[in-house]
Amino acid sequence: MIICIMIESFLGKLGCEVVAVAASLQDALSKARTLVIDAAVLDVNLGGEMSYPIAEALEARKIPFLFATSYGAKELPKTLVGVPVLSKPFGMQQLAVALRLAMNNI
Amino acid sequence: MLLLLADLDSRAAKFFPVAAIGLAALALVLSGLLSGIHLRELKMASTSTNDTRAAELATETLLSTLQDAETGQRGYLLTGDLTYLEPYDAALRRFTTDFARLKAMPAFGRDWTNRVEEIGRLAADKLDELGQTVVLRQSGQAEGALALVRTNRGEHSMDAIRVEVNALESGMEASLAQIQSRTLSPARWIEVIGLGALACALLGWVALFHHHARLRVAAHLVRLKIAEQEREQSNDLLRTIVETAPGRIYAKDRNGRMLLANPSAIDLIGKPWPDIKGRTYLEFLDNSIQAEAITLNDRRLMETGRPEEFEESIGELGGEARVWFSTKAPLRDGKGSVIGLVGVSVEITDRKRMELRLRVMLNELNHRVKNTLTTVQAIAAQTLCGADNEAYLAYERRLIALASAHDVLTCESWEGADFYDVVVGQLGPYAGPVGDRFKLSGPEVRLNSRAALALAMGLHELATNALKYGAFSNSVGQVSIRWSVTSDDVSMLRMTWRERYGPVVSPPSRRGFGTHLIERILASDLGGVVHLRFDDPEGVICHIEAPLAAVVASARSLTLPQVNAA
Repeated sequence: MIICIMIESFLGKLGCEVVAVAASLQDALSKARTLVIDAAVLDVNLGGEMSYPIAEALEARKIPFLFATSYGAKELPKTLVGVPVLSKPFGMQQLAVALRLAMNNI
Repeated sequence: MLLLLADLDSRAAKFFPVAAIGLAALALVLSGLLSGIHLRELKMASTSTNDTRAAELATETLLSTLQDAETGQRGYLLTGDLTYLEPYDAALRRFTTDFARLKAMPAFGRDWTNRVEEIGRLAADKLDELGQTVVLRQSGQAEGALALVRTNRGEHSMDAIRVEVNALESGMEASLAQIQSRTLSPARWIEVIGLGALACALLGWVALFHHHARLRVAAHLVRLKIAEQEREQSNDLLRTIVETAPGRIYAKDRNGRMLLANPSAIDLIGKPWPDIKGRTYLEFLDNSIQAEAITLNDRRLMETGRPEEFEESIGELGGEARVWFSTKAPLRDGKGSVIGLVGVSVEITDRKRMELRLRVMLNELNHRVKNTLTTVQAIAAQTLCGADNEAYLAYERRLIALASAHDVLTCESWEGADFYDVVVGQLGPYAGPVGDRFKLSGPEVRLNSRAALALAMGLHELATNALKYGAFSNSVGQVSIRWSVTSDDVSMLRMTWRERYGPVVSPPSRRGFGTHLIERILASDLGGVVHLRFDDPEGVICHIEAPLAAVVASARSLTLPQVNAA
């Protein structure tokens, strides 16, 4: 959770407004399907479950997103190649670069 | 005859040649004896022949002497010339010796002596008649002499003598003929026996030779039998090993057709031997992808002609591929050309599963460590919120550098990391791809985990400084990193970090934590010496030197080549 807070503060400093935060797969999934957002930051591992379904949902809605993960980028499924991956721990500048990449791709 | 010999057993076969040679020897002895006798007989015959010739001569001489006397008498009677009496007297004188000689001759036949006596008597009578006529003539009674001659008394005597002499001569001839016939028949016998002896000896020789040849053949056969038994024994041993060995043992020909598979291998394949024999993997293995991969690899191995060790997937259990450690070698014929392939495979599925689990665990661990590091970052962010942002950022960067080093090490299961990978891992985020703003040059060096982490942190500091004040702070600055391994008495790893085209260097007024970290902590962790130089106006230079033994990883664990199927 504290990591989440840190990312929130990064985003704030970068000039973004954090619309919602989800800590479970279900919560995140419903929000991904319904909320109006410009972008999303996804941790790959949500309490033991993989967040790929959320990625799919976001992709379907053409919402740009990036992964934050402490796993290596190599371990992502091939369908999600091209999504920017931030390796934890990362700094604010790296977050900014990744967001720009994600938004430019869409 | 020789066939007969072949059927006889050893002892009988030996008897025959010995008997034959014995017989030959006996025959030779006999013929020798006979020859001896024959020689003696020949000698005797020779003597007899000489005697006969002498006797013949004696009779002839006697007759001629008598005739000489007669001729002398006739002459005298006719002419009254005394000169004719000379041969007559000479003959008379000779007669005695001649007759004596005849009498001395050995007898030739039964009547010999009688006839000789008769000749003597008749001759005496004839000589008497001749004497009377000569006396008559000498005393002037020529007529009386002639009348006496006309009585034919002398004539009759001479004729009778001739008859006796003829008889004698026939007797001699008969005797000669007898001798000759006697000497001829033994000679014929000797010839026959001699030839017979020769024939026996030859047969005996042949039989003995044949017998010896058979003995040699028999001995050779025995040797062959023993060799064959030994070969069978060793074959049995090999067969037992192949059958009972724990691994899968198999062989195939150049075209991939199965030549041999031990029970374990047949068991793995899961089909009976008749279905496997002479078939290729593609024909009897269920997983065609696996079969193809193995077939291709086997073909390659037979081409290169060298034995190899590797891991491969054959078969399945519970949805998982079974993994095998295989040793395969080309099969060669007597001339050395490759005729197939032979292999031994041991299952390592469990070991592989274990390896995989370890790998997964290691990744999990790394993941957790990085999560922890991120948590630490977040705590720092909160704690320092509002306080010195610069300090926080420097801290954050160092944390990220540490996490990055962790990544590199996790990739290698914490057994070590390549020098190259560590450098790129640290500089990449600052300077992009290699060659762009930094250049690397050095041999392959495998660092142990401690050295890898220390180096990573040290490089991070150097890069940060380059970013803030040095070569990475403008758009043209370059960093060159060169390292080498020198071997004086102690092998040393030497590295030089050199910055160029950055802003002009000025020594820092204060040696911050970064410099401290580089010079002292890094040196200590590497067990060597670190020297940061600001004296070259072109750019910062950093020399790092450490004993190779202290920084290098121990021998890499054996990772075998994989034959990938699925």
